[in-house]
Amino acid sequence: MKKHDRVVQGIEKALIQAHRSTSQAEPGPFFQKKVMACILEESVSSRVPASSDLNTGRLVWRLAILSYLVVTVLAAHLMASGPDSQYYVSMFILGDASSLDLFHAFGIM
Amino acid sequence: MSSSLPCPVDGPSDSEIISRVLGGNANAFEALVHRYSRLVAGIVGKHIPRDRVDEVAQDAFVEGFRSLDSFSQTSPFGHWMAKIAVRCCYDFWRKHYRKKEVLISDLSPDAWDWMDNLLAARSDEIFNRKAAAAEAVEVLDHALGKLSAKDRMVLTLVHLEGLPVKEAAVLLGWSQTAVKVRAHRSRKKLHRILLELQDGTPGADEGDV
Repeated sequence: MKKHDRVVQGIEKALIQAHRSTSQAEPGPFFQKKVMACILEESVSSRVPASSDLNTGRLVWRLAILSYLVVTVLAAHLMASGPDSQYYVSMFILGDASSLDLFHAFGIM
Repeated sequence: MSSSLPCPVDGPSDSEIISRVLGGNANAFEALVHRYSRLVAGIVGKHIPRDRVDEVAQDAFVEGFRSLDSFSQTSPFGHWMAKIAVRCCYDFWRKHYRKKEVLISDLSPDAWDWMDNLLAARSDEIFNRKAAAAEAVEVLDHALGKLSAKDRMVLTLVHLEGLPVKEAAVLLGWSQTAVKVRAHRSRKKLHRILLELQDGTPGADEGDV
């Protein structure tokens, strides 16, 4: 082994010992209070999601998707049926049945 | 690290407290802070300067609170907090290296003397006494300050604390291979820094954060 390798390993060994012999850090006197103040502030701004909240969230999303599907199927069904229904759908979606004539004039529908 | 987990205590179990916190009672978390503050401060103190330990330990608890709903309870809460504490230490160094806040101070004349005289120690007792000196900590801080955040964390966990690669990988959330490779490289870098100090030439940081 070269001399400088031995020297470096000697220093390394001493540094490892120095690290391991340092006393364990202790939390400061008001640590717990400070942490809890921070956590309570955090809980007010963004509440930990409770499991009931998660279920409510899922239910809302499912209802939204279901409503979207129902409206889409209904609209598609009505559009495929007679011209009277198409006027109803135009009123329902666009709020303006006269625009349907415009669409027809341009050959869109 | 697992040996420093707190002993079982009277009162509600960790999982009972966690259920209360998840049920909306944030105040119940205080019992967990009380139970695990020494563990977390102890881990943080091994990586971070003493004057910043409270700050990083606090970050660890806040992060623990925020992600409590992801705690699977398959392992003890203390192990989970230990992982968070180690990752907060890594984040601390990463942020400081990015902001270039890490100051590499020059070694004091006493630290230079310490290095020169260390190997002249004729017995283990004298060597151990020298290793426990404040100058040793100064040289160690100086050398670690020249390493990147990743190198610093791996070197501290694997070489300085002597943790197995597997345990260090779990704590850092890295693969074992990544830890093994990083541990090997960081040790080589440390050797280079020490050699340069021994020669009296300034060592350069390798660059990555």
